[in-house]
Amino acid sequence: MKKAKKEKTKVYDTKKSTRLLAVISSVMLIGIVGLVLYNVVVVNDRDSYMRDMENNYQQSFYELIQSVNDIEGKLGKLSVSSGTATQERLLNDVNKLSAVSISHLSHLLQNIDGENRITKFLNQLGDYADYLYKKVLNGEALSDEDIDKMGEIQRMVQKLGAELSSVSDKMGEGYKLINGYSGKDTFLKDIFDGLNETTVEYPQMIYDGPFSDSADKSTAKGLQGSDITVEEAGSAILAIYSGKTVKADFLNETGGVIPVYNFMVDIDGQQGYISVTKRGGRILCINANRLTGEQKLSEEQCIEAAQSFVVLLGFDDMKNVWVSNYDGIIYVNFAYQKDGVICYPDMIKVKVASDNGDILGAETANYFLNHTERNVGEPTVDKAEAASGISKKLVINYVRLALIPIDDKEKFCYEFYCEYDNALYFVYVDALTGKEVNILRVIDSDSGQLLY
Amino acid sequence: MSKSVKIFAVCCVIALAGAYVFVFSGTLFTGISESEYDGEVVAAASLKQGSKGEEVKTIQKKLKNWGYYSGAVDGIYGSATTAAVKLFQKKNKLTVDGIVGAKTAAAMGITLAASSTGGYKSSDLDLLAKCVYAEARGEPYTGQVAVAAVVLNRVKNSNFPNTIAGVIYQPWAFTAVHDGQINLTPDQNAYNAAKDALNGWDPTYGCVYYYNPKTATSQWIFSREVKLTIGNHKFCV
Repeated sequence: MKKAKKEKTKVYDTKKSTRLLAVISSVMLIGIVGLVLYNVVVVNDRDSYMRDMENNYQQSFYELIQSVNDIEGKLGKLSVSSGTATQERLLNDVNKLSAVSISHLSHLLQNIDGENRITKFLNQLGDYADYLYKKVLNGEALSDEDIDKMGEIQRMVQKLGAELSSVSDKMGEGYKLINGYSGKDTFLKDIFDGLNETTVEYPQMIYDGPFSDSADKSTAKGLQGSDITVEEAGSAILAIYSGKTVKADFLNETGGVIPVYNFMVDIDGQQGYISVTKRGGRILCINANRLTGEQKLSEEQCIEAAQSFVVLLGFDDMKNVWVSNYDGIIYVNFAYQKDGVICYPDMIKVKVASDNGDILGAETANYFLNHTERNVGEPTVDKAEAASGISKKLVINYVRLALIPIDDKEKFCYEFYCEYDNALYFVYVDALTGKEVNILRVIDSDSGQLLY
Repeated sequence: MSKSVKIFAVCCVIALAGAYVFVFSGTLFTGISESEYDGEVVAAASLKQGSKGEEVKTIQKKLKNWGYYSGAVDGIYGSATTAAVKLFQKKNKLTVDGIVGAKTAAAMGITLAASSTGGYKSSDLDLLAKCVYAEARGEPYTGQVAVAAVVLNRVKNSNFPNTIAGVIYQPWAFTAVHDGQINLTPDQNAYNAAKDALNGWDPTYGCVYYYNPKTATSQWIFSREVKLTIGNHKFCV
């Protein structure tokens, strides 16, 4: 009796284990078949994307090497050239090639942190070449010092080329750039970091172009007066919006070229942000935003509203020089005008909502950075003479005198507002030399007229 | 024995069916996510009240021909055009919002250009707005302008590429580009912020970095001098 029961249990057990085996094997089979198919479908896809990525990186890399080597070659030629035509061409080429190099480099550099000295080096190199190019163009000869400096830079570019070639050698052995981006190795990063280390002596460049290291040291020439307190800054805001319900909460203060107190404000329910200069307590920036409704005011009415606001902010002799309309928000630019000369560097911008005329913003930093009582003087070239220098194709609509910023310097010019082939142009002719110094083209668009 | 063979055969069928479902669901999943993505990109092109230009004229002409619209064909999307579009949408069983998006445009038989924001070097503005929306959409408005300003400050800085696209797409420079949020459709606020920055508003006064102290992973960034804090972002030089 006992035995029979035991046998029965055994039979039962065998059945159970067969069923268990079937379940396990089916689960395993699902797994295996699934994995195989997964491999075929997904991994194949991923591999193909990875190959495409790698090819993109490689293309940028090889083009980077090419352009760096080209720069090196041009600089070599420059050091032995003496004709100005050759020098002009070579310097212009170096300037263009540096831009090309930076573009390729930016695909390859991972910008997680740190200053990028290679980008900086290439930027300054291009900028320096442009500076020398203009020098040659103006009839000045390159000095021995200029040539020496270029020789120094050439050796740097050689070093950069050599480092990049070492990466290229490794790629010849099957190294993949993409490994560097997926964190599999640090080879590429090490190379770039090495170039980033200060072990290489970058020549200190002595010029005043946009990328010169000295370009940051500007001061706010247009700010007068003594430092004010947060409370006084708050009152300055209230003074502008008299008659309105204003709530101004002090947020923080910011240093820099123009130290400011920042406030979060609420003016009749409109939220915004206002910066008041510590020195003199002037409004440096107002900015607010809302979705505007259908345009109800004309551009002229908006300009008028902006003009009275500029006066309210304490600016005199400001002339509106530009207006653009963007989805119902009107931006009006004002420049300081003295004795009939428009001083473009002293610029103020005001933002007006065209549905009800609300002032949504103002920006005065350029004015305070540049404004000073200048002694412009009289033009030595007369209007007709200046006009004779510009293209005969252009139909001149009007002309006036203006001070424009060029390469961080101010130039006294005739401003010709012209038309050609349905496009509008501003042409600037030096009022002292009669040389054409700049041409701007107006891009006419749905959002208004804008300068290119 | 023959019974276990039978069981095995049944299991095989189940296994294959399972594998099929597994793979199919995989493709099904990718299918859904791609179409959602497309939807967002298409939505980028829409015309609404305040829009202007040739496309608006086309819409007005069509609506007029079909009797929905009686106003002037002037290329300005005003309240009358909105009303006509709403009527058209109602008749054609579309979502009645008065905005000509992809679906309404398709129903009218027209194709919208990639963007309706006008010609202000449009690609720069679009790209900048996308970056603002992806990086700072939850931030106060000034914080959004500040993010756009940082991009423009980088363009001017010698340590960075010299174009807006170069700066935004530089590998790892912006988290939101890396994780794909850059492809979300920016809202009007993001466009306004980008436009402000392009017009010279810079609440950061020259900053080229910013980070969110709660999520930043780079140790290096903490060593930078913080110029100011707006919302969740610290801006530094």
